[in-house]
Amino acid sequence: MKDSLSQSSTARDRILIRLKRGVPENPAPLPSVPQDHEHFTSYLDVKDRDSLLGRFQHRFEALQGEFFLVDSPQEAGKALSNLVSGIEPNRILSQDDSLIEKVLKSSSLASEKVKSTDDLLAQDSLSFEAYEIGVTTAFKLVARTGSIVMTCRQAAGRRLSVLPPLHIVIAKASQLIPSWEEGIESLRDESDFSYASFITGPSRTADIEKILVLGAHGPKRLALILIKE
Amino acid sequence: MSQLQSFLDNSENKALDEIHRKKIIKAVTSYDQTVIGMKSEQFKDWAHSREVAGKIKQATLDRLPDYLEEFESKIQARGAQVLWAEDAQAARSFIDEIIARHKVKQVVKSKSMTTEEIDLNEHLEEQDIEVFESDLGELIVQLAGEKPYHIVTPAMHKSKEEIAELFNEKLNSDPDSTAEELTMTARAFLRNAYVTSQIGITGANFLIADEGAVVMIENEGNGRLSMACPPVHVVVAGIEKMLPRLRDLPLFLPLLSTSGTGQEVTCYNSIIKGPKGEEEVDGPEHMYVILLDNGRSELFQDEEFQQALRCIRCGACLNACPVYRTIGGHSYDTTYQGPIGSVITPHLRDLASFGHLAQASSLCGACTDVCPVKIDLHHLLLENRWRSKKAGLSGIKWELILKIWAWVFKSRSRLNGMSKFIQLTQGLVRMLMPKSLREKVPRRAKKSFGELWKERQQ
Ligand code: SF4
Repeated sequence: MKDSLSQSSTARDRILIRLKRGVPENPAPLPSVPQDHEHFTSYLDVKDRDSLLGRFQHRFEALQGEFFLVDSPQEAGKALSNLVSGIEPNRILSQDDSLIEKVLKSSSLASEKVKSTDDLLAQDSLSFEAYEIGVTTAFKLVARTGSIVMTCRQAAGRRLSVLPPLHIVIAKASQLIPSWEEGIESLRDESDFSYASFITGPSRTADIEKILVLGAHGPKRLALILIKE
Repeated sequence: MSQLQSFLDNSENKALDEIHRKKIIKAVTSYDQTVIGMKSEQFKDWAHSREVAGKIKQATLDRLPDYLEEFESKIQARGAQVLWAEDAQAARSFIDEIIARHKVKQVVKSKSMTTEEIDLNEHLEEQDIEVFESDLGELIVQLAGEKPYHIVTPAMHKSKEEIAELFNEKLNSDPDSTAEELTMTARAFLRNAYVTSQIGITGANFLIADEGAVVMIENEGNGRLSMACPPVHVVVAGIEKMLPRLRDLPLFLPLLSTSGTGQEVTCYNSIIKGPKGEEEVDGPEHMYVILLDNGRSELFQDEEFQQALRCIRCGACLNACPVYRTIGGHSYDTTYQGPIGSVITPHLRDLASFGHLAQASSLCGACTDVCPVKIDLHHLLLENRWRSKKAGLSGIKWELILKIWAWVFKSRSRLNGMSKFIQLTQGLVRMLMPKSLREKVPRRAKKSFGELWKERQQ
């Protein structure tokens, strides 16, 4: 790489010199950061949880996300049992997390040993392809567009939320925020991650005659179990 | 054959190809409907939002060298390596080195126009590296041995039946597959490629200076898989992809997806700040960002044309263009088709070979009207015509015709004279014409407007 490094640094200098020649002497000021309320019709001016929840559910379901609103982790366990019924427990992979553990305990999987990402790491056999279902938490939930924000820390890495055909997210209503503005802002505070993603509905494509098909390469199904308490 | 001649031939063929026309009209009509709906549904005032976006992009260009340096130092601090490539050749040799270093045999790619620009697939295949295009549209054109037809929807020109036939031949699927079945065939075909490839190559939609981040948007998930599974992630990005702040994204992401596909936001919007972090469970061990110049810094110094670097590659100007709709994407024979392609290609490549593209416009301004960052596209097309003329590229015949035209039109009496001349000789000229032409060419009216006007005045 040594050769190319020196090549890169000569190229860098030359490119920057050329660019500097094209920079105006007195550039117009950089406009202030765009505000959501200035641009979007669906900006929610409210902070109350019910309106955020209503909007989120409306958008999430419109994109064919499967939405389950529950009152407690125990109830979440029931919702999870329904989602995983018929799937071999050893084809389920979950993120290491105390909330998920609680939910698992109240589910049909209570007596099973559901593998977590940490188990996989310990065995160093990351054969993710074998898993049908990935269970993760979320970082934030954006009401305006029904999006789930994840960072590679909360979602236990990059693959768990994209490789298995069914992605189940377990989150709390207190994680709802109105807009992308706030989503981005909270990512800025949470600076220690290498990867973050705004997920809006299950994977899709319209590359063939603009016909919408769900489940292109990412999850075919996206489910959210939202705990109210 | 010259670039111009093949352009003329291909354009004529496509323009007269009724089946092609039907497919394109169907695609752009459905695009138009969704986009118009989403603009008013999502944006309070689209005109205002694109005004703001254009200003932010221009202000970014005004400070581009600083932002590039800021981006570089931030993302390097997190362990990514930034490589600067002056041209396509340099970018390819960086990739060669990365491939040699990590002993790569197989590459999975997600959609990236910059890798098209540097002809990466051909280059890798020459060295027996297997390349998997993972975006469905890209996979379709790759299997068909074609180039992308459109910067956003690469396989827009193919009907479901054609794709079914192609997949049947190459991937052994049922020849009567539905769109859903075809998508599942592609899914199954590529599933393995993500985990067995040693390297994932992606593009970037934005580079963020203040956080040192690469931003990529997509619907399918193939991009996410390409940067989650392989141990090495390579990003190839044009130097103009910059935005100053992560906080610019809440405007730019919906703006791009609305203009690109009429979606509120795309399914996945990924922010990548480096390779796998120390405490993270997975992700690539190595990340390289190749910053591609390839003529952009020259364009940047051109006062008139610098604004073309605001482009966020949404594809809206292609869909809006009556010429693109008629001659289709392949006729251009460029990486970037349509109005934006006709504006930048003569500068990124060469004016002599691609200057004629400026004529592939009715100057109606539809492109300028839809551009979400307010690039004055049709004026730049006009400017390209002028540049070609100044460079003496228009040819003697054309120059002569224009000279005569100008000479006639500069004087009222010469114009009247010409008009009279046509009136007197048209009978004879028409007789000499073949019948088919005669039926098409209209007769000059008995009296010109000028003559009628004069009579009225009396
Ligand atoms: S020039 Fe404007 S309309 Fe055309 S692709 Fe670029 S951003 Fe979109």
